[in-house]
Amino acid sequence: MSQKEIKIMQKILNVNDRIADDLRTEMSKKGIVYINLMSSPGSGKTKLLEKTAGAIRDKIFVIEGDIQTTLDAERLAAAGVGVYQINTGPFGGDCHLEAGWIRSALEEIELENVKYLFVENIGNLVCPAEFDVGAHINVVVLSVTEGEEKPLKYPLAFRNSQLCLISKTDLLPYLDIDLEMMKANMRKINPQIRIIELSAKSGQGIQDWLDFLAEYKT
Amino acid sequence: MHEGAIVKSLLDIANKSFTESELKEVNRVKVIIGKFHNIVNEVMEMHFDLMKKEIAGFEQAILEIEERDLIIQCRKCHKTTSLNDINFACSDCGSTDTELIHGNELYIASIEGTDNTK
Ligand SMILES: Nc1nc2c(ncn2[C@@H]2O[C@H](COP(=O)(O)OP(=O)(O)OP(=O)(O)O)[C@@H](O)[C@H]2O)c(=O)[nH]1
Ligand SMILES: [Mg+2]
Ligand SMILES: [Zn+2]
Repeated sequence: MSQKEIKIMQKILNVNDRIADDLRTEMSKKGIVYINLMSSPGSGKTKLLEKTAGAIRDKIFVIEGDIQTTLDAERLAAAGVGVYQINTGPFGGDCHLEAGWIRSALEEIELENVKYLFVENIGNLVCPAEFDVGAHINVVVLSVTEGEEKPLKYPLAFRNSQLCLISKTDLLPYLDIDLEMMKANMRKINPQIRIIELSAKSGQGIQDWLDFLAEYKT
Repeated sequence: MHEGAIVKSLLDIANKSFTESELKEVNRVKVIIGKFHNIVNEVMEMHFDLMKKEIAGFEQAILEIEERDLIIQCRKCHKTTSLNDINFACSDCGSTDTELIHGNELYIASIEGTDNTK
């Protein structure tokens, strides 16, 4: 009997990454822009989607990720949005979505005429950033109430996103936050990141977000 | 957090290699993890110790984690900078056009064990 080492040298998440790449290609072929929204709990992802659905001409579809409850999906359905709920509770309460679950969900979803497919990832800034769901655009939402230093604490989410939405700007008059510092911290992690400030409540900046979506080419 | 899902994926890969190998059992699984990933080693080990019990041949295995520090390389002057705090700017010329060359690793490196040959 002897000790032996077998080299593997593979990416641990290679299965997820492969499915994610397939999904990206598939959505591109269909001409669908696929967007993954990530943030900590309560940054305003669902509210932004409600607002977006009301303001956009094109058809959107939302895959909702939550550990439990269908509350967000119900809000979106009430706003007339096609929505599919993934609850991770039954699968051990995972705090992120994986590409394989999106693929399974898509088998049950009718995407005809849909121009934008959104995934509202589970509210959490650590785990979702680790798992490519195959989106064309990763968007991280950070509300003005969360603090300037969050990009430094959760670098992967900011590094792996192409766009950051600074949300709830209507609250700025009541806060001491240094917005320039928050943006500088984002750029330390990701010098290329696009930043849009908006408020789903007042509507400020929503047009910039819609323009960003309209200009995006898959 | 997400350590559970990562351990599950790495054990899937490790188990596949193991079944294709001549090994009788696995006593070490080596992974390489960059500091960029916010992964807590103790949590990795906890999940590993729970999940390995369910996989024949892995019951005695230990998880060995090799950490990688954050290192960027400047695309302008090609100098490398080791990052203490996370700031993706070249320490030499200040350019922010840099590439993360270490610290983003999330690899399974190898499995080790005893083989059947006498
Ligand atoms: N003042 C203000 N409040 C907002 C804004 N957007 C969202 N909110 C409020 O913030 C709270 C959380 O908003 P949600 O849209 O549910 O946030 P979420 O990111 O979907 O939350 P989870 O899915 O639970 O992670 C709600 O009470 C919203 O009404 C905004 O632009 N301004
Ligand atoms: Mg929500
Ligand atoms: Zn340089």
